[in-house]
Amino acid sequence: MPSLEVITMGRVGVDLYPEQIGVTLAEVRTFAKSLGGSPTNVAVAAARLGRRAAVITKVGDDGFGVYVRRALAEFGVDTRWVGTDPALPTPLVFSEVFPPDRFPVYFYREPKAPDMNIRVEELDLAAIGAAPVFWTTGTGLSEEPSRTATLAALDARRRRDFTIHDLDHRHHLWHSGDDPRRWAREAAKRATVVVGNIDEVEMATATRDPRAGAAAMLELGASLAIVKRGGEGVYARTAREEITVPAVPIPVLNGLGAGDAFGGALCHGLLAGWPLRRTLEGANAAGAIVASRLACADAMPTLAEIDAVLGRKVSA
Amino acid sequence: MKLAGAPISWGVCEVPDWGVQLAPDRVLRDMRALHLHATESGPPGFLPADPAAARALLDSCGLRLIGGFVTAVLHEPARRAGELASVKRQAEWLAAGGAELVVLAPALARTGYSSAAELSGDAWRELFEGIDWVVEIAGASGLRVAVHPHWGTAIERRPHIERFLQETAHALCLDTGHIALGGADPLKVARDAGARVRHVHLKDVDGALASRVRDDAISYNDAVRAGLFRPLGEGAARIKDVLGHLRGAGYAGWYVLEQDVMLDGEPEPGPPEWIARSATYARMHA
Repeated sequence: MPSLEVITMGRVGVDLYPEQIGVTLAEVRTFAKSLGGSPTNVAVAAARLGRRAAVITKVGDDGFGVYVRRALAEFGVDTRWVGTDPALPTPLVFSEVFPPDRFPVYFYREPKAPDMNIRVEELDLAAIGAAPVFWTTGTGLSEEPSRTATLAALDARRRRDFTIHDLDHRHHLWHSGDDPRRWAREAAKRATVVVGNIDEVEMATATRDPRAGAAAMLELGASLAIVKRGGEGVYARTAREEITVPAVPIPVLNGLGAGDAFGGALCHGLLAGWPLRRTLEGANAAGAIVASRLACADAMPTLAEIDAVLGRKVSA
Repeated sequence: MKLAGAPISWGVCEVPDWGVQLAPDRVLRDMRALHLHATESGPPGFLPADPAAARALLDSCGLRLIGGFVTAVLHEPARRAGELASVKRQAEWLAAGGAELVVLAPALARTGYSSAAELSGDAWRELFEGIDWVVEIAGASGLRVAVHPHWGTAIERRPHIERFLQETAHALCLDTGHIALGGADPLKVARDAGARVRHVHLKDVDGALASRVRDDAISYNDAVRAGLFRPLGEGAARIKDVLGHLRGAGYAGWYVLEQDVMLDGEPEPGPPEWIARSATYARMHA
């Protein structure tokens, strides 16, 4: 069996999206069910682009857990490391959709999400260390034992490329008194690529300036720092160059999941050997495509769809 | 950064019985898919013998020729005239193809790279004089020369590299993989050579296999077949440190993705994963 190219680790859930746009949870009548959780959807997005991907996560022993495994398999994502917690339910996520820029998310991960119970001893550290791309997210650091497991997995990489940490900061998922910045920096130190939006960069580096924030991430040890700036596009920086990619002018319907599409296409571009600018243009377009659609996992673009948005072949 | 390809990364090599040899069309198309705009020539016979035809083929793939790997036995006076005539032919072909550089490996008088030899003091003098001649011959065609320490050649191990740096003023092709394989530290060699680094071949090397090659526990060819040379960042050649040093030193020459591999069969369509990963690595860390 051919070896995996992309392994992601962390959050999973079932997203329940309102089928009515611009209404509150109090008014919504029907929901559509879909696979959710940032690193889970990054694996889906990478698989959609033809990469052999797996996600390390955990579901509950319930029907939603069955659904998660089934949906992953249908998307072509390897499920060998999807564990089952015997007691906790599979998390649900509800959202409201107020285009173009307000998409509140309501997590139902109480008393605890099974993916926060991923333990070091459950990890295949050899496989994690050998994968061409390994992807972690900030939410995985928000609670034990997942935090220790996430850092141990990053340690197993020994700073090998491409180890990508997505800052992915969800304030509500952190306990008061815990220090997201400290743990974000611990993860960033072990990564070779760090990705985040401007709020997340501020959380990790105490600056909202993309250039200074990216420089701070390089200082921590990353070789590529990427700042997602929504309507202002993408800013990225290495020791040698700065890259600015403008936003793609597509009307936004639902911004949720755009970052995961970006992530999947980023993995693909890094593995394809494209110039960094080209990779970021492709990732940016992938994000815009998903933002123009209601769904997330079901809406991840193919390479042909990315080419169509860019008006040329991203790969040529 | 100036990033280029080399056919050897697709298993195309001058050594007989070196695995499957891919056609130029396939290799050049893959280079284009990696957004490379320049390449080394590969071994004689890989590109058309008519340099104009070679140039046209490269042009059609959006590529230009930067140089070629040329081997010559220079430490044996009796062979020198013949070897220099061969260098001259290759240099003229390279120049007519638009290249700027001869990458010179001081070969031993055998086929392949599986044997070692320790030159006598006289032979070292002959070798260095021979390199002077190569510089002159290449210069007549408008080409510059970068001397390439390489396993199985006269300049193979750390003391050989040190001797070359101390006793000549010639420019170096810093091949990270071969230097590490020879037991030297590529970062230290890059520092010691300073502005004499004229050309860079980027490849990583498996530390354990390299040490078995040095101890003669495995032949060079068998080690290459077993994956001696690794994608950038996945071995012991300190690629990231070397790239950081060269950036800081203002190196402005070519970085060639040059990972010697041996293929058992035709790879899947599209750039092989080892070279694609290395391309991204170089672009991220250079």
